[in-house]
Amino acid sequence: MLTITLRFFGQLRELTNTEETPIQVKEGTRIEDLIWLVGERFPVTKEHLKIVSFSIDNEYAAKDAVLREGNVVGLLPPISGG
Amino acid sequence: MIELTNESINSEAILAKMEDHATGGVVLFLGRVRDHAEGRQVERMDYEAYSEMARVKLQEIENQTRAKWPVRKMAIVHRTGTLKLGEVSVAIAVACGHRGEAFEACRYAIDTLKETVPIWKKEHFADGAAWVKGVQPKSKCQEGDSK
Repeated sequence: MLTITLRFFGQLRELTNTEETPIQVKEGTRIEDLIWLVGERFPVTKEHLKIVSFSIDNEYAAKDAVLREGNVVGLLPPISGG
Repeated sequence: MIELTNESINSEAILAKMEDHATGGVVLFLGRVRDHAEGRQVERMDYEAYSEMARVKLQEIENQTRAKWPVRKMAIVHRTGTLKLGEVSVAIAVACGHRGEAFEACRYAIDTLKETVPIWKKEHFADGAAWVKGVQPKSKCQEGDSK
């Protein structure tokens, strides 16, 4: 198993009442698999995950990106800076 | 230079960094908190950033802008925290040899910031609050786009 860190922002941070949390995933887990795991652990996020973007270690990540030990994964709602 | 700060943005200090006698055009863009959104009266705004990643993305914007236009001085400063009406949330200054390239470079930087930098804002109204709908981020600055 790998340990990665999830970080929540904006509305997702509020809904989960969580800024960051460790999560264990199997070797070979992809972002698209993680979406399912997050939905199971934080059901309140389920309806939002369709429009969430992901980052791995400060870079936007594709749905098929494979997670590695120690990765920091950001769950990023649609952005509204400026 | 790029900066993410929870302190008031001082536009005079940013302009002072644009000092360069080889530049004939300086463009300063200020984004600030507007008093209305979709017909509702806004009272204040919270800005939240994924700080580490936002700094990476802001630096990419500066690098891309410098690669596309002959920029001699540039600053991008974004605010976080709770802002009152009229307070500056973002400042972008660009100094170039000529005005045309300064306008284009500044426009590119603010447009790209809105598309790529992980920052979120929440509007507070008299009767509640709501996260701004936002846009799906683009993963990279657009290559070859000189709009």
